Parts: sequence; structure tokens; C-alpha cells
Amino acid sequence: MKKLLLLGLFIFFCASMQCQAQSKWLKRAKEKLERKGDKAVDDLLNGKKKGDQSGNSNTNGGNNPSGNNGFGNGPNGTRGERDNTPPPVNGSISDAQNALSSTDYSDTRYYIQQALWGIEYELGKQVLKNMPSSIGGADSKAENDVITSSGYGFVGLNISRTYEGNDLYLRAQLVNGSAISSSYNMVLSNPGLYNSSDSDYKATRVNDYKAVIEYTSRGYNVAIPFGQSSAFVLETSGFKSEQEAVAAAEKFDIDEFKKVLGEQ
Amino acid sequence: MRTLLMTICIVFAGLLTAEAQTELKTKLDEADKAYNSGNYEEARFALQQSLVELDKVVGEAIIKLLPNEVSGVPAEADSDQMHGGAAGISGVYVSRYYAKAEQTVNLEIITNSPFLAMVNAAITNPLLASMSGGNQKIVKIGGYKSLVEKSEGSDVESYDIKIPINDSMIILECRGFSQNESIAIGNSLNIKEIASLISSGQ
Repeated sequence: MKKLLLLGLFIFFCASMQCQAQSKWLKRAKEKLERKGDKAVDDLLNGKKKGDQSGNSNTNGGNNPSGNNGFGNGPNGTRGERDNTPPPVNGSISDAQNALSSTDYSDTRYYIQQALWGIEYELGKQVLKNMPSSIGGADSKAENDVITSSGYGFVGLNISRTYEGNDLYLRAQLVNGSAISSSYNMVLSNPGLYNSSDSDYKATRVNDYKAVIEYTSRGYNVAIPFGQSSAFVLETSGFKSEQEAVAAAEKFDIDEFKKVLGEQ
Repeated sequence: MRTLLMTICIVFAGLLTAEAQTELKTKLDEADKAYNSGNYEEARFALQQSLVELDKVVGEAIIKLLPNEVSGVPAEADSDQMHGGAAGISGVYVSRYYAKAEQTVNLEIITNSPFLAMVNAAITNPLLASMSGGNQKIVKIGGYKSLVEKSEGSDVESYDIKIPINDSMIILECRGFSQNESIAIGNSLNIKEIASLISSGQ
């Protein structure tokens, strides 16, 4: 019995020593990790990294000479390129079909919306390809091209391109599947809205299309509703007469836009 | 008789779901085919239509999850309503009406409406409830923060409950029930299952 008691005490002593050792080891490891972690955080906040100590920095968003935390430019003063290209349409449709098979309606919706965005992006690119590269000495700024698709019926697909130069600023905008296009049709079908000597709107023709000219503080806006739910709008600044604005609008091939967008 | 009518309604909803699902699958196949042949406009139209069909499928699946009675109050068999938003703004609207004597419950579910996400964030703000003079309270129903509001202008004790789920919302208008009974009605719904159907981004 005495031996058993001594053995028990010995085991308990060994176990407690081991626990203490483990606890000390854990504590040391924890402290070490904390020190390393703090250093890493400090380095990140100071915008320093081993590779940057040479003074070279491949920055896209600019250097951070102030040495502050560099928020907005990434932790080491760099930023990757933006990639807004939609995922492949076929892949999204296939994912939607798979999600539907497993009755995952949330994912089905997500992938349909992705596929829709992919197709509208393609349509937008085709429309932009059919826009002129310069108008009246103003060159297109391809870097400002924008294709926006909300996926919502009353906002629709929106494609825009700007032109600058020769004291002109133009913004060509095409809206498809949008309530905005209907508002221009409403103006055209209500002579009372523009047949007034102090009206800011006036009906005109651009090639074979009925159009509306809007007089704004910046210049002339020429809007051409076409098809069932589309409109082309050219906002201009710098033209001396409305004839010049109409002539600029005539440079855009509305028939081709109709073809691309499947409008009647 | 009422049970029979409800059973017929459920079977009918099941048939509709199957039909809408088939239609949705057809639209997706059409979109795939049109895209592969370079007809982007047709593919786009087919995808837009597939979203409309999806709204129908989701709406009908929600109806199947709704209880036939709440707190002993049976559903009115022909009260079910389901509208697809189509445009993506208004989302899918589903409703069922329960009535027995002076007790009524109007259950509405609006799904996939981006506008609701903003409204939802505001209504579950505790500050708003604290400023309501005691008429509003925020409680958890089915695990979701919900707004319980005492309804004025009714002869009987009434409460409105709003359960926001991302860009969707479940609304309960309980007439002739105490606050605790109204909350219990909310908890009796299969919120988890409904949420998995209506959450667009989860």
C-alpha cells in the first residue's frame, strides 16, 4: 500500500513537472510568435518588406514616401491591375445548370446574372467597336470607355465613350433596355413639351431618325431613341451651333447599333 | 374540406414548380446554344427570361414551405399570391392569408430586391427602436434580428413583424395576437429553409 502511494505520488510529480515544462514551453513559443507577429505588423504598417530595402519598388499606385501605412496602395506600396472582365459565359451557364439540378436557386441566380453580364459585356464591346475614333478633331479616349450592366430592367445596359480635343468635349452614351430611352420617346410624342419658344428641347432629325436636342448650360445634347427600348445620347460641349452637334451625332451608325443589340 | 383544398393547392404548386423548372432549364439551354452560335442578343434575351422563370420557381418553392396554419389559425385556401418581379428590382412577392374569427395573419415574403438591403439595415438599427416610444422592439426570430412593431389603428391587439434576410424580407401582420404570440408565430415559420431559398448572395 505504501509502495503504491509512493508510486502514485511519483507519477503525480512527474506529470505536474511535465505540465509545467509544457506550459513554460508553450509560454515561450507564444512570446516568440507574438514578437514575430508584432514585427511583421510593424513592418507592414511602415510599408517595409525585405524586398523593398534595395529602394526599388514596382509600384502601380505610386510610392509611399511619407512612410505611413499606405492604405489604398497595398501594404508595400503596390497595387495589382484591375480586372473587370466577366467570367466565361459558357462556364457561368453550365454552373447555373448544375446549380439548378441540385435545386440551389441562390447559386442558379448568381450564375445566370454572371452569364448575363458576360454577354452584355460582349455586346458593349461590339457597340464600342462601331463608334468613330474621332469627331471634329476630338479623339476618342478609349481608356474612359465604360460598359455597365445592372441586370435590372429599368436601368439596362449602358455603354459610353468620351471624345476630347480641338476645344471639344463629347460623351456618346448608348442605353439599352432602359426606362431613360422611353422618356425621350415620350418627349418626341408630346409636341407640347418642346413646341414652345422658351423650351429647352427641340425635335430634329439625325439621318433617318427622329431626335431631340436639349439645350443645357454646357452645350447641346442630342438624343436619338431607337428600337423598342434603346437610345443614343451625344452630350456635347464646345460646339458653336446645334447644326454642328447634329452633324457630330450623324457620325454614329445607329443602324449598326440596332443590329448589334437586336433591336427592330 | 379546407384540408382537401389545401392539399390540392400544394399538389398544384408542386406541378407548377416542376413546369417552371423545366421552362428554366429550356431557357438556359437556349442561351447556351445562342451564345455558342454567336447570337449574343438571343442569348441575352434567353437569360433574361430564365431569371423570370427562376423567380417563378423560387416563389412556388416558398409557397410549399409555408404552414397550413399558424397558432391554430388556418390559411385561406385561395389566398396564396405569387408575382415574379422580372425586372430584378421588385423581386418575387409571395403572400398567404390566415384567418379565424377576429384573429388574422397576413404573411408576405419579398425576395431579391436590392432596395430592401438598405431598408433592412436601417430597420434593425437598435437606435431606431429606442426612439419609437416603446412601440418597436428588436428580437431574434429564427436566428434573424427582426423588428416587432405595435400596430396602431386596429380594434384588437396587433403587431407587425419584419424579418430582414439580406435583400429579402418576411413580413407578418398579426391581428388579434399578443406580442409574444406574434413572435411565436414568426418562430413557427421555417425561416432557415425560406432563407436558403431567398438569399441571393449567400
